[in-house]
Amino acid sequence: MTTITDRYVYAVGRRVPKHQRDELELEVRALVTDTIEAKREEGASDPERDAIIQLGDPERLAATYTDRPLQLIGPALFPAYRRTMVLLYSLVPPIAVLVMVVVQAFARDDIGDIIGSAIALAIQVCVHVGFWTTLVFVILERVPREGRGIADWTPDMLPDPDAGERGLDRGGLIGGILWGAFIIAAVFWQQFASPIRTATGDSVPVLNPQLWTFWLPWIIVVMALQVVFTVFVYSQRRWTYPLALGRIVLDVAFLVPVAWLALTGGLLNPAFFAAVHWPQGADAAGWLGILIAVIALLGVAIEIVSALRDAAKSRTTASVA
Amino acid sequence: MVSHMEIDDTTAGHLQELRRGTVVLACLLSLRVPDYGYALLERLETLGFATDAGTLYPLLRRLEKQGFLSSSWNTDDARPRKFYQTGAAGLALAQTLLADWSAITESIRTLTSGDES
Repeated sequence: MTTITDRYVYAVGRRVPKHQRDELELEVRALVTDTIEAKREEGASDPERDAIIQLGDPERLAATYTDRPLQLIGPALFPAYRRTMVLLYSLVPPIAVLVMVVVQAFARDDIGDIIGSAIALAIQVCVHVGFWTTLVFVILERVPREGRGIADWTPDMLPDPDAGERGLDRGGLIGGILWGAFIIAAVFWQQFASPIRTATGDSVPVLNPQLWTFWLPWIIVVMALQVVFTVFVYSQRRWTYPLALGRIVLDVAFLVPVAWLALTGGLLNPAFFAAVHWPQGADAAGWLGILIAVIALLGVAIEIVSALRDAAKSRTTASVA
Repeated sequence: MVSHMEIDDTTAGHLQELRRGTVVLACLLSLRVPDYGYALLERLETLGFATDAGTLYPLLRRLEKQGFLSSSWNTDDARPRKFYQTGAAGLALAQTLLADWSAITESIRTLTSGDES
């Protein structure tokens, strides 16, 4: 009959290296029996059980005996681990997805397939980045370290409060205004002054003229709002979450309709394809629409991420100041 | 906003923190006379040193590994027990720790004497 003490001693013993085991098991057995004895003197109804409960998790006891870490990644390595993870996650998945989407767009895949495989790839890359980085640090945690740790912190890593304090710098202000003005000008220019001509010399708009009923005026209004918004953000001197939300709404209002129209084939003017003698006519230009849509949606994704990041950064520096 | 319970817990935590390092010194001094783990544990508890079996046994083992304690199994009793005794290196360590203890007492006294004047 195996007693609970036997099982406890065994549980501790199997957690320590073989050459220490026999002696340690003797010692743990002495510890357990002494504790039981003390519990009996206290008048416990089940001293053995009480003693084991008091001694606690055998794995932890074994770890205190052998000086093994009880944490996956300890305080010495955690800051480096966190920095590495943030760096890798902000670089590797976006680059991998971007490369794949561009390649597939030229392979003329169905847009649904592209989005599907982009999501699948993003998940895979995230899992791999997380797993392998963690594994490396878990191993480092268990290798004896001498002197200073890896990826040491240096004063150069300190964030610059001034950089985060101003929400939008002058370059961002000018860029935002120019971008809005450029899009509005381009919409008018392609309609009234397009360099593309038919055989009879008439100007051919690049965008579908039917869009003037709603979508082109919509885009002009959104871009005008974008210019006003950019000036407003600049005047606020720093990003906030409401401002980030406004930025995202404006970007979605512009880019999602563009992506949608490009995908459904209504964005570009069929006459334009004929005028430039597009190899297989307007029908075969589907991949061009896909490419435009993908770029627009990527733009949305990047803008959402950077809007939230700017807001978070600005908030951190504000609380420090 | 801080309740009495929290103050008590916090204070207890600081007291425990203050006493933690003293257990080593207490062991070294106490084991000038050979003793086994549980008897030492009870003696330390009577004297008010906060420790428990799960901490003290591994500590004794570590001190033995570092050469401050020597050990032998006593099989005279009904069940075998590991007896520890402070060795020469352990006594030297105890002297060093005691000297530091005095230095700390002196430093604290310097800090508190300012309050009395």
